[in-house]
Amino acid sequence: MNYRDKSIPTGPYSKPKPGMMPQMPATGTLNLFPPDEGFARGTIFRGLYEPYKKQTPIRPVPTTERERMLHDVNKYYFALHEMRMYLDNFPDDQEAINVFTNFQRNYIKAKREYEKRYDALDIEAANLDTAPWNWTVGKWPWEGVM
Amino acid sequence: MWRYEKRLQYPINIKKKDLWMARTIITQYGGPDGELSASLRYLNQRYSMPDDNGKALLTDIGTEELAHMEMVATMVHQLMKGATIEELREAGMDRHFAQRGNDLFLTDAFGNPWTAAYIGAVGDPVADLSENMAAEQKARAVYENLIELATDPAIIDPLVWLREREVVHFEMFRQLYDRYKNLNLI
Repeated sequence: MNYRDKSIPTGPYSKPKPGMMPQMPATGTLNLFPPDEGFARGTIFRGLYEPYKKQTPIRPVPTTERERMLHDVNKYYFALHEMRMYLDNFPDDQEAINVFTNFQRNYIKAKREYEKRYDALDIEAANLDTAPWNWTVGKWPWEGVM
Repeated sequence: MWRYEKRLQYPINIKKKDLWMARTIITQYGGPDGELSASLRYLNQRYSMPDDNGKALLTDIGTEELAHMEMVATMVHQLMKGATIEELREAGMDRHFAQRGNDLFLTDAFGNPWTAAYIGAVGDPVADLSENMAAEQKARAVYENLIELATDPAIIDPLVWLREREVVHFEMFRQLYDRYKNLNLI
């Protein structure tokens, strides 16, 4: 099993391929799910997706504009985080770095747009400049639909 | 240093109260193979990783586990929300209520409090990473057990998602483990 597998593995955990480590070639094409699909499945790497009993993930369907915008923040951060962990192991993969920076741009943009209209997500948010102080406005993440 | 973002890593909206399910899912909050154990295991081991890649990976996975801990806590919180004294009593949670009220607490499914004995650290990167790979597999197995116990899709969906994260983390640890073995870093 590796990040570049063409097909989704269906069987149990495959054995590590001998001779592939320590350097994985930085050529070829990463086989990634699109961010939406990767977020729903729990990984953006097609080669690492291993469904439990062929369980199909429920794709979160945003019903409001707020949910849609938060979903964008979630999915781009998730994709960004996945690429970060991949690059921890394969720091010389320039193709992966390009994918990473693309997700990074999308995440920053999605977060700014969300915060422009709704609650601050973190201390860097631009909308923390007026009363009532935005950090204490709105539901907390564990309180259900936002 | 850590920063907080006011959102869940993956959305959770459980509307149906289910105290029995809360009593089982709690183990992924404060049990041996739960998310607190995972997070502290990796964040504690990272100081002795032999190279910067290992330090980075343990930091990043340890950080993600904190977000998983918040997801599991959210599930338990929503499953318990609005429970009456009678419902708590029927679900055998009267003892929890007597001691903790409506607070969550870091325990396994049997009620045993979280303990640092759940996490391993022997200062040997290959041994530590093997422990982490085993931990990810054990957590995957526990999530599968929980998926079998659950009936509400609003519970099953985040459990399935968290289970897949264990598969991904296992593979990331395995790649680091293989590299360290091949580099004879130990």
